[in-house]
Amino acid sequence: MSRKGKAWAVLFAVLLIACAAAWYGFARGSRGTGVAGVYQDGVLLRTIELSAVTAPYEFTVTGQEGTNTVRVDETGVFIREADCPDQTCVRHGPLLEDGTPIVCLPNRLVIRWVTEEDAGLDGQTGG
Amino acid sequence: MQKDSRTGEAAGLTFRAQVDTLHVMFAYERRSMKKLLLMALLYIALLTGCGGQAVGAAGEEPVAAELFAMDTLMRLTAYGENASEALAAAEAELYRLEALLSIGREDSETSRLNRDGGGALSPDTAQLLDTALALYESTGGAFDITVFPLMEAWGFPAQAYRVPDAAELGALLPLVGSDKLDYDASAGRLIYQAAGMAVDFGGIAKGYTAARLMDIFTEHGVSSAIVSLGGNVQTLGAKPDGSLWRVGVQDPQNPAANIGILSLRDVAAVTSGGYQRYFEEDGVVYHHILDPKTGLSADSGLISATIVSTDGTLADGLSTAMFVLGAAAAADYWRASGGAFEMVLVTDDGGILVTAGLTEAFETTHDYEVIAP
Repeated sequence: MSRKGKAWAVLFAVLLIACAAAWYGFARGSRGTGVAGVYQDGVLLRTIELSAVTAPYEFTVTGQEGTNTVRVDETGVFIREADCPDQTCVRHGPLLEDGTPIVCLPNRLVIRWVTEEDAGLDGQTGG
Repeated sequence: MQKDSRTGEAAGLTFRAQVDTLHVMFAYERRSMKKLLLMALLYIALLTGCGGQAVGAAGEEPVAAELFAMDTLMRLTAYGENASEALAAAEAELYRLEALLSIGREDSETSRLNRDGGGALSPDTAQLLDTALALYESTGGAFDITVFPLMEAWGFPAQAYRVPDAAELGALLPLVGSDKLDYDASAGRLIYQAAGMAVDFGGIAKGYTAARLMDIFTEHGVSSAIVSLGGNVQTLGAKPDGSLWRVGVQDPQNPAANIGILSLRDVAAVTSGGYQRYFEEDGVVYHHILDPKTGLSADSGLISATIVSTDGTLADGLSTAMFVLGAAAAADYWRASGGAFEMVLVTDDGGILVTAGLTEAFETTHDYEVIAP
């Protein structure tokens, strides 16, 4: 392949990946750039400013029924692992812009947007 | 704030919204001095035109409480002078109702009734039973508070999940059916016809509680409030700036996101679905809404049913019942109900159905089908 052909191929590949990433982001919802709060029993344990995250990291929160491993990376903030039987918080996935809070009932852990402006909504139904 | 200022009328704008609007205007119109002047004039007109109202509205900061009760996360938000007192009274009320109704507590009224095979009912339980029996009748048994022995067999209450075999379910099904409850309303007494029967008000308890909280807010002079009791939302009035409450309906196929947003006032919105509480065994998903007729997880083709109604208890019970009945029967039930409620249904192939009375309040990026009267 000529040098020019190679350049075109690379450009095409880059565009394809960019499109796929954009589509994925659109389909899954945006992770948002607000400030997420990690609450246990209503007490704010720590905040995560998502726009300021440069490298992935994890931390654990221990409650009455066990431990949740919270991960912060390019997809946002989510609970990667929990040792409770229901796994609802793990299945929830990341906290999204205009999305639903992450709740672990057994450990009374909630990850949600700190301000109402970031949350965008006044309430949430689900089942 | 931008969302509020876009949908709210000028007279309803809060002071902060006006300032935000100005900031946005500056950002957009930086290059055009003429337009900027015009905007500044408009802003001054807004300030002088509704200054009094703006100051009043800005004083109404929300007071919120977040707590865990009735096995779920609850969030209560109230506005106005008496918001703090109203919230304290609301919290006390929901703990009272939890102690009364919780099936997990030995000393609750529900546990006493189940232990004794019936007994005397308190006013709250009597009201819940009235609603439960009416729903049982009108839904052809799709809503049934006597399904509890089946729930236990599947291990849902204790989260000790297991799949009961056909013989076990067959032995339990004769204990299920609200027609086997003898209720003497004048005496306030309930008698179970069979030993081993058990009732659980869990299918309407949160809806009833949300409705009670609205009464308490009103008694305390609060006219603007919203509560989220797990999947149960109920709103009192509109927001202090006059705009509607924006309530997300969780996407059953992607629980992190919403399938749409409802703009509401003075109503309850309740969703039932099988996507939060379920377990898998041998690749099969078993969710917690059981069909009282089969004893198995309801398999009606719906993955979510959201009910909007001024009656919080009804909304709660109907969300379960419509989920069990499926789209076609739910549509018929809605047509016969005479406008008592509206709904959003999601089918297992991702389709969305919205009743005609709710299309204006429901905002979504997805396509949906309208259920016509």
